[in-house]
Amino acid sequence: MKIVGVCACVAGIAHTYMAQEKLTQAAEARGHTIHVETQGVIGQENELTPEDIAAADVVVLAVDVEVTGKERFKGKKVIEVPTKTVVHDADRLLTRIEQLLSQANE
Amino acid sequence: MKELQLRKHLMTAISYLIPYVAASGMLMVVGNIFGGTSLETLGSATGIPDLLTTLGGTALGFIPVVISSGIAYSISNKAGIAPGFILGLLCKVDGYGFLGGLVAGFLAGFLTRWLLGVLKVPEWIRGLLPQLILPLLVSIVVGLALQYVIGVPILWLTDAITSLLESMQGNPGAEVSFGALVGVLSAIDYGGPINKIVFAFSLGLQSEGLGGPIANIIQASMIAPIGLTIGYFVSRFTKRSIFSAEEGDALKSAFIMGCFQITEGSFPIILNDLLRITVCTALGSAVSGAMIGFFGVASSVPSGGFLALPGFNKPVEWMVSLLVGSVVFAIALQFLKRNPEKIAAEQGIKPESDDDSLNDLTFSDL
Repeated sequence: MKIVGVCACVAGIAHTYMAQEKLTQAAEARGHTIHVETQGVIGQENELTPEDIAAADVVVLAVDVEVTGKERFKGKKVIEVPTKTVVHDADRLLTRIEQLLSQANE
Repeated sequence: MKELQLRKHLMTAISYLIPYVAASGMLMVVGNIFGGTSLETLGSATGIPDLLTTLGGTALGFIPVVISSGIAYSISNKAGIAPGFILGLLCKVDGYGFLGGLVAGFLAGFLTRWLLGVLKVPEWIRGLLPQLILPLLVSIVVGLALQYVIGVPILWLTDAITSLLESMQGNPGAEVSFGALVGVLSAIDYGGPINKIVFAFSLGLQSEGLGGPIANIIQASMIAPIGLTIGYFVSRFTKRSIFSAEEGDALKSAFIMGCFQITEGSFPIILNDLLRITVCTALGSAVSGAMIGFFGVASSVPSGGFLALPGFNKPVEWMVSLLVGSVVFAIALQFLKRNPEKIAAEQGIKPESDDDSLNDLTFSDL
């Protein structure tokens, strides 16, 4: 499936980028296409394009704070978790999301 | 309560506050190094050190404004900024401090969001709603409530805490136990929510002239990186490999970041063995915090690690406390830390996470 995500933690220095890395690795290992935007202390990086968002099956927000541009995801299937869920076990989160998506598609 | 997401809004505001406080504090430090003092008014004849010190000090006084507008923005987006700012100013003027800023931000944010949802206005006036009507209305309503009702207990509480801490000064037993408590609380979640809340209240106390807790928090954020570094060299010296090669690499940037009070660099190591290393952190920070309490170290700047040294009343005692705490950490580490490569080899596979919260996960509404 196609995934887009946003990662943002409180200090915006470490967890934001660790979450991005773990989420990307885990998703690619499971054969998904993924694009993850970070909103660290320097603001938006690796920004999601409207095309990315339109094509995505699911939006994963791994965030501890309110993020910029949430309105972009209106009408999409959005999963919101704290960054630590992704940092600790992105793989399990993705398994759960696949489950939820297949339930929703039934 | 959960759907109000109080913690998330507070954390959003604190994420805006961190660079603000860091820059303000550093302005003061640089000014102080060059002999600057805080002035009532500035002019073209003002010297640069005086300018920097005054600017930094003034900026720190505006923390209630930053926290209030940050929270209000997090809750009700752009429409929250103006009332959040205005009400934060009221908190500054009235001396409600950080606590007042929190309350003002939440009230302004939720009231704005609620009004945006329920107010139905004709098309031609719609632009005026967020432009004038909402900020004015929210400022009046929350402002009156703060001034005449909510502000009373806030002031009472702030004064009670301040005088309690003041009464502890000169009582070594109380100072030491309070220092240990603040040390443990602000260190155990490595800059997480507990640390941020202690930080927030300590900032409030600092503005009341009590710089002890802040001096304590600065060491608490540095114990892990410095303790890990000392622990690494101890383990090399005793020829015990409790660090993996990757961890040794990560330690370099962890140490440098740690010197500037950024704990995050140590995460790659800490997260490999969270519980055991956190025991070391708690021990080290308790010792260091208790010593800071004992010596009566206070800081006039809110953060910066070693850069904050010129802002301490007793920089040498502070360094000694940090060093002793870090050594305690490093010694505990020798007994508790395991080499992640060995753990992996023993267990063969990664342990299953016992976190069940994922089962409740659903798609959220925006």
